[in-house]
Amino acid sequence: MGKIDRREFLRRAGILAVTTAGLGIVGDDLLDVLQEAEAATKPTLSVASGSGVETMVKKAIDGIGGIGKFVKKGQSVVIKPNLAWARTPEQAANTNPQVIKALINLCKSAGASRITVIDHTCDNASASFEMSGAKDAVAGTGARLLSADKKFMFRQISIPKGKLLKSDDCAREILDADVFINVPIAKVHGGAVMTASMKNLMGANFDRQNWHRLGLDQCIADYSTAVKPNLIVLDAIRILLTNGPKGPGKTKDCGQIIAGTDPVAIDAYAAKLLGLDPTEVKYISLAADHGLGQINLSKVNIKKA
Amino acid sequence: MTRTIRRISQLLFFGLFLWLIYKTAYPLNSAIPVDFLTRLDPLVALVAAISSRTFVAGMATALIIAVLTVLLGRVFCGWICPLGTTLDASDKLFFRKARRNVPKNLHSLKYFILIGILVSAVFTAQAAYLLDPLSLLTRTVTLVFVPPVQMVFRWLQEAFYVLSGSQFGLLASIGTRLSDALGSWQFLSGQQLYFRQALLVLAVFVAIISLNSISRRFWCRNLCPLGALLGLLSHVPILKRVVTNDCIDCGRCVVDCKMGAIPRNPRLTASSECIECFDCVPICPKKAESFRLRLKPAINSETRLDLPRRRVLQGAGVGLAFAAMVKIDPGRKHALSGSSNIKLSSSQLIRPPGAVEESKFVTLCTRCGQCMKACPTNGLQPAIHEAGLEGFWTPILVPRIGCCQQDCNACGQVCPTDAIQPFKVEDKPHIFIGTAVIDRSMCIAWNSGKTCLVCDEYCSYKAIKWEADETGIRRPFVDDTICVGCGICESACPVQPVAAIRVYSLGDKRGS
Repeated sequence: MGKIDRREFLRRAGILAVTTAGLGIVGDDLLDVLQEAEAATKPTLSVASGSGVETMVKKAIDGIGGIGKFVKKGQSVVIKPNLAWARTPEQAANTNPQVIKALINLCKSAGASRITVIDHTCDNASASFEMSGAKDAVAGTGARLLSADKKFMFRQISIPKGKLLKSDDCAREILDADVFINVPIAKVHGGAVMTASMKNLMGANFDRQNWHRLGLDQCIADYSTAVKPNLIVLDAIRILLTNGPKGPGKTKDCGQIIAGTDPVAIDAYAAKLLGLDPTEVKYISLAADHGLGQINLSKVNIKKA
Repeated sequence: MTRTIRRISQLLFFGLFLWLIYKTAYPLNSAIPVDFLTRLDPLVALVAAISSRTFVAGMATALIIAVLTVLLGRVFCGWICPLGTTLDASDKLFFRKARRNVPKNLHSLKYFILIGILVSAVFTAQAAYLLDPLSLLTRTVTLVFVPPVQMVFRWLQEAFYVLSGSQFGLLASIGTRLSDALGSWQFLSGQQLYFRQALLVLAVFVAIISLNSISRRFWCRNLCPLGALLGLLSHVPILKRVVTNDCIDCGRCVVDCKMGAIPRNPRLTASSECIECFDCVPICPKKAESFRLRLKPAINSETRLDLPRRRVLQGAGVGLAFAAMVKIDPGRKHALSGSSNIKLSSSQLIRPPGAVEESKFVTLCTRCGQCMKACPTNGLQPAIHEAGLEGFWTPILVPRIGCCQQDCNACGQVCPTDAIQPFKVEDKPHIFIGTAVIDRSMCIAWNSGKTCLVCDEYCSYKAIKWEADETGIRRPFVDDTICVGCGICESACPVQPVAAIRVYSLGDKRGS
């Protein structure tokens, strides 16, 4: 141990004194402070129900600060619905087209400079866009509907926090947009047990097969550490309870739109709607382990909008 | 004048030919049936009917050309046939300076080929597809020329897409506009097409073009079996070439005739060889030549079709040999019991939905490739060995390349010979073309302790069932009463290089 001169001694003594004093002040109040801090960081989900898709979407987003909080005038917006399958809106395999349309209109009202609706579909893109109703929903709004199905539309990203997935690709439109809005639908899912917001990002990358080879659940969680939507709007107007994700299967009319920014909380909420325990959906637990959000819904501020 | 009109006709029909191939795409939205030109082909009609022993209703339109030929001669060859036009054009492009001497005619060779093809057909072997001009050219354009053209437009789209990411607003918006327009263009909206066997198909085409270096329209003169069939029909046409007494025997027409249809005595015409191009009329220095409609055969003005009996017998012999070669192919042998659609040549012989029973299919199919062009997933490919020798180049579904898409019935709508019959999309859950089988030793869910179930995810008909094992891993099973063999599972399976779930022909229920 080195010699300590007077100046160093005084410095260390000072630090010790201040620290001790600080702890003394906190004392009994420590618990209160921590609770307050937690309340401040407690994620909020805004749940709108009722009828009228357009008003529900607006009410839900208003509950977390309104669209103006997320989309500023002149910003470019990318909307990523789930349009994976050549299925009709009634079959609840894709995001409800009215939700897409309502969101486009909200973004327009907030002054978005350009709006792109994008997906890398599983079935043939033109069939999926047509049958899902997305093509009609986007037509005439001024937004573009883009099928991200070609390699050149993607850019490599690194995923430093990824445990299995260290790097992947992501649609250029999403990476370059000012605002990224994820608009999933809640469905059960064969491989991932269920799908909502984080699983929907599998349509933002190009090579999906790789996730299955590496380990699907971990890859879903890993990808969400790198690709983070600014806003998530969950379509739970009608959800798919069996034969997911493509259906056709049993559906349930929940009549809800949920807005939030915490992907784990959103997916946990979706799990509840689907009759599942969020902690038993492996990818949600793994995402919570990554610190991506709150899996415990009792610690989530669920606001009726 | 007539030459100009003829060229316009040739160009119009060639344009129509290319347009119909372009329109052979999913979803079909062509005002004219895309197989219209092939349905006009009497050779395809005749051989399909004879070799399959069925009346092909859709090919009845070929009678139009047959009747036209009886009346007016081989106008089809001179005015309509897209391969004839291709040869005329390539002549102008590549062979202008070549050829000085008048070549010896080999006219009878094409009759010899035709007889061979017909004899094969009698012994239920389809051989017309090899040399029928419409099948051959449609196949060549589809399999060889469409993919690279598509690729060039893809590159263009990529270039515009890169531009759309530009920092400069104007460039970016131009790029966005153009790349979006190309991306939503039907020609580019499906998979990038590519076809195996394309080089071999091209080689046949190149060979036919190259023969022009020996003489103009060498193919049409000497080899084309459709030309031969039409030649037989136009032995005594009403439309006749008439030469007046002003003829001075200069022989210009003899040398100039691209079909070699004018013998040494220029007053004579080999009607079966004349394609009614009328090029001899303007070049005659004495204006002695004309084409007139005459019912009565003008005495001595036509040369007889000369078919030496030996040649006929040789042709028949070759046809018989071809049929025999096809029939003794061991790959043709059916599995010992069960469906006759299952062959030993391949366990993955998957036919498009709507395909007729296998023995009929290989005789009806004229290998024009239109179903392959229409298939949006690029899954339909020309068979190499999978269907045996008799099924060479017939369409098979290769699910690893592309599946049979649930909402598509394009292949059934474009087949000229009804080898693939029209079917409704709603009927697809009942059209069994194969069965998926899981290879558990490769399957991620069965073998590696990871979750996967991509097959279940993609399955359009919900034919995959799963059960969770003790650790919670869900493992897939195929319900073979539901699985139709569309192959979407095989195309999406993440296992490499071969899928862990594969479609086999065991569930093929054609003709039952």
